[in-house]
Amino acid sequence: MAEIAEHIKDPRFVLQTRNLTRQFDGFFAVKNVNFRLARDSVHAVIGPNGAGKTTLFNLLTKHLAPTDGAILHEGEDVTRLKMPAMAKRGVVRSFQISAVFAGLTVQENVEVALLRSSGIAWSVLGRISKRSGVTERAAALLRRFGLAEHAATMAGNLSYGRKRVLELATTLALEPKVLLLDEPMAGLGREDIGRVTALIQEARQGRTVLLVEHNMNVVAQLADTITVMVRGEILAEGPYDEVAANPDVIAAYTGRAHG
Amino acid sequence: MAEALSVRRLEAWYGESKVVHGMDFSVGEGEVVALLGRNGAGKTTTLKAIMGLLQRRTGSIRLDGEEIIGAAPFDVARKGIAFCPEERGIFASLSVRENLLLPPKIAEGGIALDEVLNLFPNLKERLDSQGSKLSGGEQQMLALARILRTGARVLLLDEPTEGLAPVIIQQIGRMLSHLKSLGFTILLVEQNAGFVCGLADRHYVVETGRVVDEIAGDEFERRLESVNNYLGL
Amino acid sequence: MTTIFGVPSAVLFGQLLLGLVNGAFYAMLSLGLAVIFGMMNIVNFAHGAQYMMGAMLAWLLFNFLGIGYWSALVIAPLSVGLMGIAVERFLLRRLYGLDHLYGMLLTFGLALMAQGALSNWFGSSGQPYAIPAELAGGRNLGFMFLPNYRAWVLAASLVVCLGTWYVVERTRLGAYLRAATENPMLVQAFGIRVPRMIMLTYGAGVALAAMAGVLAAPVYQVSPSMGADLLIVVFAVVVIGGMGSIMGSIVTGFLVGLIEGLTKAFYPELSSTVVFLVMAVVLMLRPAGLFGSRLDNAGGPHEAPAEAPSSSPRTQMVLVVTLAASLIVAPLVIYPGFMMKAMIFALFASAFNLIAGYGRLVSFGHAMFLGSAGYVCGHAAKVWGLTPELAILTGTATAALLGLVSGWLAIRRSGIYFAMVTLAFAQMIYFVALQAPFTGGENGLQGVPRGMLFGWIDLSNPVNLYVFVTVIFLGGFVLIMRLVDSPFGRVLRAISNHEARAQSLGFEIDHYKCVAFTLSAALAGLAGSTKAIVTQIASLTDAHWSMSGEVLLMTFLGGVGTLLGPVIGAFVVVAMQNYLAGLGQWVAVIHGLIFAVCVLAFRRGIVGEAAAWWRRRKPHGAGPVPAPVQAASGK
Ligand SMILES: Nc1ncnc2c1ncn2[C@@H]1O[C@H](COP(=O)(O)OP(=O)(O)OP(=O)(O)O)[C@@H](O)[C@H]1O
Ligand SMILES: Nc1ncnc2c1ncn2[C@@H]1O[C@H](COP(=O)(O)OP(=O)(O)OP(=O)(O)O)[C@@H](O)[C@H]1O
Ligand SMILES: [Mg+2]
Ligand SMILES: [Mg+2]
Repeated sequence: MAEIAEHIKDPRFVLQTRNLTRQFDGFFAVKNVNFRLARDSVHAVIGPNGAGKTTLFNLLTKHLAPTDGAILHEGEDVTRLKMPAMAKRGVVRSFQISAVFAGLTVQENVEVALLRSSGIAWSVLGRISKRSGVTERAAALLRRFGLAEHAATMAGNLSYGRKRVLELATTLALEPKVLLLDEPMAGLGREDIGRVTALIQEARQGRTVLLVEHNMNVVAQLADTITVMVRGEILAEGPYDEVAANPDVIAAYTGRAHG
Repeated sequence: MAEALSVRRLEAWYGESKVVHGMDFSVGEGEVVALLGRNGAGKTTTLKAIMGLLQRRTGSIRLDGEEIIGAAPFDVARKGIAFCPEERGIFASLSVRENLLLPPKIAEGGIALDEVLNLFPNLKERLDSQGSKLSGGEQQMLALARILRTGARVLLLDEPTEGLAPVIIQQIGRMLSHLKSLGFTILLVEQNAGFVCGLADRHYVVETGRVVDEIAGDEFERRLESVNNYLGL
Repeated sequence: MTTIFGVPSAVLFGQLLLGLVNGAFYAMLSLGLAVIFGMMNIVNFAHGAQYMMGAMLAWLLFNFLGIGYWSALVIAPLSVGLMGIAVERFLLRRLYGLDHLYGMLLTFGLALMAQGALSNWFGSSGQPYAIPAELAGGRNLGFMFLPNYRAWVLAASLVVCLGTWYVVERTRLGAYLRAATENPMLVQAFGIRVPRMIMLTYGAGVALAAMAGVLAAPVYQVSPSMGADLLIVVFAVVVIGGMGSIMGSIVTGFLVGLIEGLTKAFYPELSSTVVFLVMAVVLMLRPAGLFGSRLDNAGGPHEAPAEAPSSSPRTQMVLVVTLAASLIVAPLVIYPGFMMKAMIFALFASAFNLIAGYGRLVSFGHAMFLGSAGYVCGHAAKVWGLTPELAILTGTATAALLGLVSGWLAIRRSGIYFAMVTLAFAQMIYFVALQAPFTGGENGLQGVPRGMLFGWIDLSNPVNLYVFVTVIFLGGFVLIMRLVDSPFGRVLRAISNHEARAQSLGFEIDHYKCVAFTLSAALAGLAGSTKAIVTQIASLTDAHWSMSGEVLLMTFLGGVGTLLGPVIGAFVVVAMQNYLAGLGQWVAVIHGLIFAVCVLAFRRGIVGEAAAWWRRRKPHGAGPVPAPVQAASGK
């Protein structure tokens, strides 16, 4: 506990973990990870498949409970909090496999998130259209994300790539303070990768972004800091150029030198 | 070169909405052919139509000259086409081993299990895990690995590199070249132009459910600009 | 004579043996259910009927053709299994790739038909079936007497159970079957003839049920209703064990039988409800069931039915005004008694639709709210002398409370498990209603006074009563309309689509579901209370599972997930019952038939189909109607 108290004093970091560990039947998916997410930075986690990146995400967002260790958010110990509580504290994630509300239209998908962030989700008898501009804000978001023409489409009928874009739009609708993106570019075409990269650039203003991404071009463009995970542990950490030149990283992850 | 797979005037629907509007292309025996196109262009739908997974489709799909458009999915598979789907399709309740052994052998000439596992060492370590417990990339590897055993000669791969680390992508590229040298015929859907470049013999560009251009493998680099154009860069 | 805790040991062991025999049947039936469910994602509601058909067939074979037990043990399962194959080939097959619920509804309809038809032909009373000569008698074990036949049942069921377990868990065929459960299309794409495999699996599961039926014939009385009540207990067993594992179903089956036996020996009053209590405890402590894994993804998130876009406030105004106007005019041409009954059921169905249509939590136990509210309201008006509005309030509050408690437990499971849990709770309430001192048992609570509304409006005046019911119905309807369109309603739909995603957006999904369920229960209770005042009686039929089936029928016939659907469905069903009242058990057959036709031919229901037709006609509508995606099956 003394250790945690020390950390509280460091306001530069939004999220910190202390010896975070998660075991699955004796297998360490995440092992003694001390991770710090600096305020207002874009931080990328890379690493080979199965390195524990998604698990780390799940731990940070409470989809999984850690076997050991602690998580601090804004200096407070949040290790025991439940999933929705993290979202309410402004820590929101996207999923590696696209997750949309398939039976709702694209517009309705975004509106659901806006209902939460505008605090009227529990209104049992109100109407959505008349409330706090939710409809207009959703429409604006969809325009920004190039989904406006699909606003009335059932989200389940979108192509895979568009589902991912929609998921990102929904996540951003919550105006999260900390945005955790698990492979936001997977399955996207170049066009969309360009657009989503620009969107993330824009979205980072005033917030902290943590992303897992295998597309190194994107990582190079976006990230201030990169953490490389291998077998549940942190192998290297630093700015792109430094990490990309690290021979251990090349061997474990990037393979032959690669832009 | 003999045509292994030829698709003519293919149209396909989801319910009431038509998604593929007259596709025409062919894949020669032992060739690697890539379908490129933006999100929502209808690439996945084309593969599903070939497998017989869509209820409504018209036109002609020939495998070694034999018409298969009316065939049920299990018949298509038995005639020698194997499919690696977009969202991986790992059976969550089966172990990795069971997933690997699930597709029945339909002919001789598949790659032996040991060899497959050597290609994907990650899987070897996790043979007894449940499918759902694998990481995203491991699932992608499993999806690829499990169709290599079956002896099918024509492989349909839907974005096989998605979500994989660069090292593994390079490994898969080498593996596909190796498969090609073994005589497999491969139809590949990809958005990663860097990956298909140098691998595919021919590229078809798909836009709104039609083939709008064909680019030979050796022309690819020269025409990179128009490819980027098509893909919206 | 030795006694154990005051119970003679012979009695205790006798009850334990009986419990084990019952357990053998639970095990065999829940095993068949688990196999069918595991492979096809269908909760086979016809399982009880198929068990009954096995027993009935054995009885028929003996009484009409003189064919004995041992031959029947082969013939009956084979023929019922073949019937099952036909059902799969021609009916169930059309439902693959759709929500799992449809399979449940279809088999429920089939069960109603089978049970109704056999009752018509052979009467509903129990018939004895003789123990085969080879197994007559028994032996004295010293501490108890063991009848040979019971020993045989135990041995046979063990062999059957373990054999099934081996095939599913340890063979390649089993792996195919398990994979096909998750993604049948993909398994087909690997070259496996999934349709045929599924057909044979269903046939085998059904044959297993029929075989249990033949084994049961000499133990219990053979009657067309022998399967229905047993099935509900088996559902509870399945929830306790968790359907994930075959071995789990077997062990739980025997375990529950034993617990029942013990209860019968020590505290017989509780013996019919103990299973459900155990279920509640298990849900509290281990929601996934004793042997269940956490894989509860019943009702895949990707196959949402076509949802009618919510209508504008103006359209809704028009709708309500039209509805009110026609209800006011109606008594001029239609018998008001009918109108009131239909309105009450329309409210009940709309309440049900709130949770089933918009929250996609299909409850199979809504009768418990209708029934219990009716009893409490009746009791309050008759015994406590409360005015009708207070009595109705009391009834509604009771239903809400019951909804809160049962909902709090039931929402721990989703999809079809949810249906089974609610059904089991409702059965428990039914037994309570049957045994409690103030409900009047089989006769019901009669002579409920209508009383003076607010102390000054006399409800025995037919005009007053009609207006009163109309106001309640319209009030409930408008409330539901607003709820569905409210932010809360939207969140509910989102949750029903993808729970994990909703959670990650910061919604406490359990709270939303629980509140929705409670609201639905309260509104159902409002209908039940009003019914008690109007009909002046609260009876067991309102709490029986067949009432839960009826409300499902109304909602699905009218159009689940549409506002007007349940209302129209209720009117149609009530009208039909009025016209067909003289037909006795055939009404059940007709209900079953409608279920089957609805599920097979028009899943969107009357209102949903009409809306879809309307949108198709209007070419400029927002894109094509997304038809429910259907799996390709063969050609
Ligand atoms: N199940 C479905 N029902 C209705 N429409 C669908 C369905 N699946 C896909 N579509 C639509 O069909 C079109 C083509 O989709 P398809 O999945 O074939 O695209 P794709 O080229 O594979 O795109 P991506 O690169 O994003 O995977 C899209 O517009 C999509 O919205
Ligand atoms: N629920 C679980 N049970 C058992 N093992 C698990 C579970 N979840 C993950 N694992 C294992 O933990 C390891 C880390 O998984 P994780 O999903 O975090 O990887 P990742 O870094 O996100 O990989 P990818 O880039 O492939 O998505 C993997 O080897 C995986 O198989
Ligand atoms: Mg991952
Ligand atoms: Mg695709």
